[in-house]
Amino acid sequence: MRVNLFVALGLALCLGILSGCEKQKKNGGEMSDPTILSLAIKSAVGALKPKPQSLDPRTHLTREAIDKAGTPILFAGLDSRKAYATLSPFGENRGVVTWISSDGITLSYRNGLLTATRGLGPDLMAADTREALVAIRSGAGTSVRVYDYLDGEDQPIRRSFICKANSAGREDIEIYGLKLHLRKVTEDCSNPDYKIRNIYWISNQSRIWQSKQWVGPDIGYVFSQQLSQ
Amino acid sequence: MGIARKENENVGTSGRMVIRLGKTSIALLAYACWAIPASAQSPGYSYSLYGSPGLIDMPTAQSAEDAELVQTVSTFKGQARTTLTFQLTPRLSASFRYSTLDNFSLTGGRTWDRSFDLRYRLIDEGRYRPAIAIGLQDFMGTGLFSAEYVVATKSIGDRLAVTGGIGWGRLGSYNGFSNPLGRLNSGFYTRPGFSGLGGEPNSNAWFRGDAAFFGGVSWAANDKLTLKLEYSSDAYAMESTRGLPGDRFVHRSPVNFGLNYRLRPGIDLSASYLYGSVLAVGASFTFNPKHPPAKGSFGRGPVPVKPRIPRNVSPADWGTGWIVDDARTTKIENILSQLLTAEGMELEALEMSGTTARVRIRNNRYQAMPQAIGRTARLLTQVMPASVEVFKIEPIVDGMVPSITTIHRSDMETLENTSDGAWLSYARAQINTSSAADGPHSRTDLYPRLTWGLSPYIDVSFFDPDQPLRADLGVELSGRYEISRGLSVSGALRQPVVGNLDSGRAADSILPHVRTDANLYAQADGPLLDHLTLDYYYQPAKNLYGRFSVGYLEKMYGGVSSELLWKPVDSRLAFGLEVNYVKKRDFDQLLGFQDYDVFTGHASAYYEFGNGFHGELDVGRYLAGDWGATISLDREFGNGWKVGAFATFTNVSYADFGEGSFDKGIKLTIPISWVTGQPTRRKAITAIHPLTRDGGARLNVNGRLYETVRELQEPILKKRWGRFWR
Repeated sequence: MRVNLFVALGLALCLGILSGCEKQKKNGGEMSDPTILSLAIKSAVGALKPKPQSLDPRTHLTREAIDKAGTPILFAGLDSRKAYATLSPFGENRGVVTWISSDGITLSYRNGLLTATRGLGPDLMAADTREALVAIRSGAGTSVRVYDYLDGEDQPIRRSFICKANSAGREDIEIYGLKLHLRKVTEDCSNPDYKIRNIYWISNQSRIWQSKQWVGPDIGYVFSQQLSQ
Repeated sequence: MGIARKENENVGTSGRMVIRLGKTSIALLAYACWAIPASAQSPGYSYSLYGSPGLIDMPTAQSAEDAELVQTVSTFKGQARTTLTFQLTPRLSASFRYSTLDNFSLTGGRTWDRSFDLRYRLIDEGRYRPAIAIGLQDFMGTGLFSAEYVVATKSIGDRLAVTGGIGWGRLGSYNGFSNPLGRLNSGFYTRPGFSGLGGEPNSNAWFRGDAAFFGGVSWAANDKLTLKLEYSSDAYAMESTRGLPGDRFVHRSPVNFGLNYRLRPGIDLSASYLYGSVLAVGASFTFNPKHPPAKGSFGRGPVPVKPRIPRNVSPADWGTGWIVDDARTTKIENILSQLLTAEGMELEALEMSGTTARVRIRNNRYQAMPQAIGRTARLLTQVMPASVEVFKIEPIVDGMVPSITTIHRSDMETLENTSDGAWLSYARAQINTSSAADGPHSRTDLYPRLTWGLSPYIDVSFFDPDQPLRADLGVELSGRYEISRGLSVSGALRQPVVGNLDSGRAADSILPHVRTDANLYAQADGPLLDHLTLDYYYQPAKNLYGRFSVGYLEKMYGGVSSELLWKPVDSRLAFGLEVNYVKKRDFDQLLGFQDYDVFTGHASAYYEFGNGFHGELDVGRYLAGDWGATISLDREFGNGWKVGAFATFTNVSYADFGEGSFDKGIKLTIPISWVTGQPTRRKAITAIHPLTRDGGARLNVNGRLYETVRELQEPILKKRWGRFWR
C-alpha cells in the first residue's frame, strides 16, 4: 500500500512539471501543444535506436583526397567529447576565418588563434588574442587574454588570463605525407580559477599548422590541424 | 496556397554529432525523472523530510543557492510528503507540499493535505555569528503541519554545522514551555485550533501557544555523505492520537539520526531513524534555472558576416544602380528567403532602397528574439549590395510588428569577432516602435497558407483525494489557416485514447459549475473539438495592439473575445483590457452549447520590476459572474524560465468557494531549449492549482497579446541580447 502511494506521488511530481497543462502560445509554423513528456518519449525512442558510430575522419583521410578537395581542410578534435571532424572555410572577416563541420559546428581562428566556437554548448563567444599572438610568434613574452562567454541566463561573462609564451624547441610533424619541421611554442595562462596550457606548432612563415587550445572550462581543449598545403 | 508540414525542430537532429545527440537524449530522460545533473549544491546544506534546507525533521537557518528549485519526496510509517521548494531570493524561500497521512480518521482512513511554507534568512553567517532565519510552516493550509520557528545555524570548519532554534505549533509540542512572547501580550499563551475551509493564512495562530527548543548537528564525512543528529521538538501528537489505535505513530524518543548521500550532483538520498520508532527514507532532486543542463546551444553555427570589398578597392560595387534592376532585386529577395528558411526563419516582407534594407521576418526557431535578429543581420551582409549600409529588422508575430531594430552593416563587420561584441552591438543598435500597417507589404505568395500538425497530448489533473493523479492521453490534430496578415483560423481536434480523468469527483460547488464539471467534459468519447477560432490581430494606433477572437475559444467555452494592449516599445509598464462574452459548451465538446452564458473580462496592469521580477494585476469579472482581482508575481530568468505564483480574490465568500477558500497556484515556464540545448521556441508551461473551484476562474483563451508583444520589446530584447552573436 505504501509503496503504491510512494510511486503515485513520485509520478505526480514527474508529470506535474512534465505536462503542459496549459495551452501554449502558438507561433509561426509550430502548431502543436508539446509537453516535455511527449518530447521525452520521442527522445527515448531516439535513444534506443542504434546510433551510427561517430567516425574519426583520420582513419580514412589521405593526402590525395585532401589535395583534391578543392577547399582547405581543418581537422579538429575534442578529446573531452571524443568528437572529431573535418571542417571547411565558412567565411572570413577581418582576419578571422570561420570553419564549419558537416554538423554545423563552427570554429573561428584569427592568425591561427581560436577566437570563437558555435554549437558546442558552452561556446566561446569571442576572444581578444592580439597580445597573445605577438608573444606566441616570438616564442617569448607575456600577454593578457580575454575570453567572452554567456552564462546560463545568456548574460555575457568574461574570463581574463595572464599568459606567458615559451619556446619548446622544434618537432618533426607529418600531416598525411606532408613532412614539416616546426617550432613548438607553449603558452601558460592562469587566473585565480584556472590554469591552462595552449600548445602551437609554427612554421618559419609564422603559420600555425597545428595547435591545442583551450575553449572553456566545460569543453576543455580543441586540437586542430591544417591539413591542406 | 502553400501547404507546409509543421517543422519539428526538437527531435530531428539527424546529422548532429552522435556524442551530443546521446547526451541530449540522456539529459532529457534524466530530466523526465527529475535528475538534473546541472546544479551542484554548495556543500553545507541538504534537505529535510519537509523539503526545506534542514536536518532530518527540523529546519536549519541555511538557504539554498539562489533560484534553486528542489523536489523532495520522503516517507515513513503512516506519512508521505512531497515538496516543491523555490529559493525565491537569496534570503526568501517558498515551499508547496502535498502530503498524505494514513490512519487519520476514526475508521483509519487516509487524508491528503496541501501546505505552504515561507522562510526568510534574517542574518547572514559571520565569523562568530550564526545565520538566523525565521520560518512559517503550513501557514495557510488546514494546519496539520503548522509550525513557526526562529533558528540559528553556525558552521564550524567546512564539515560541521550546529543548529539550535525555538519553535511554536508542531515545533513547540514536545517538552514545551510557556510562550515567552506571552509577556508581550497574553494572547500568545494560547494557540487557537483550526477552523474554516483551509487555504487562508491562519495568522491568528502564528507564534502562539507553547514554545520548545530544538537543535542538532550535521557533519559532512566527505563530499557525498553527511551524518545528522537532531533533537526534535515535535511530539507527533496528532499522529499518536488519531485513527485506529493499533496503527498509531509511537513517539519514543525526541532524538533522530540519519544520513544524507549525494548520489550525484542534483540527486540526494536520505535515510533516518525517527523518534525511536520508525525508519524514514527520502530523496531530493535539485536543479536551478540559472544552470541549464545543456550549458548553451548545440544549434548550428550562424552564417558568418560577409565583409564588403572596400569602396576604394572596388568602387563599382558601391553604386546604387542595382535598385532599378528588377531581376537583381528579385534574385536578392529569393536568395534571402532561402537563407532565412535554412536558419529556421521566414521572409515576410522586404523593402530595399539604395542604402537601406528593411526586412520582416518570422522567427520559428530561436527562443531569444535577438538571436533571430542577429542571424538575419548576418544573412543581409551576405546578400545585400555594398551600398546598403542600414538594416532594419522587424520580427513579425501574429501579423503584428511590435518593434523595429536598426543595425549598421559596418557595425556587423567590425563587431562580429570583437571582444564584448554583444554589448557593443546592443549599444549601437536602435530599437524603435513600429506598426504592421506602415511598412512593406507581405510577399504575395505567403497567403493564404495552411500549417498543421499531429501530435500526442496529455491532460493531467492533480490532488483529487480519491486519486491524486489522473490523466488522459490522446492524439491531437491541429491546424492553422492564415487568410491574410493578422487574420487566421486555428483549431485542434482531439481523440482521447486512454485515461481516467472521467472518473474525477462530481461537482459539489454551489456556484455555477464554470470549472468543476471537468469530469463530465472528460467523459466525452471524442473526437472532440478542443478549439476552433477565427482570430484577428491588429495595431490600431501607436503602442496599441488588438486581438479579436470568435468561435470555440477553449474546451469549456465558446463565444467572442476581444483584447486591447497598450505597450510602448521601451516601457516596463503595460495595460490591457479584455472583454469576452462566452457560453458554456456541451460536455461532448462538439458544436453545441449549454444555457450558461456570461460576460467576463479584465483590466490588467503588467510591470517588470527590473530585478528579475514581474508583476501582474487583473481586475474584473470572472466566469461565475464574480468580481475581483488576480495578483501574479513571477521571477523571470534571462533564458526564458519563469517561476510564479498567483492568487485570486473575488466577492465569492470563502464559504461559497468551498475547500481552499480562494483560487491560487504556482506556474512554471520551462523553455524546451533550456533542457535540450537545441534551438526551439517551444516551452512547457505548467500551472499547479492545488484546487480548481468555480470562484475566480478565468477564460482560457489562446493567443493573449502581452507575452507575444513584450518579447519583441524592451527590456526583454536587452536582457537576451547576448544571443545576438549566437
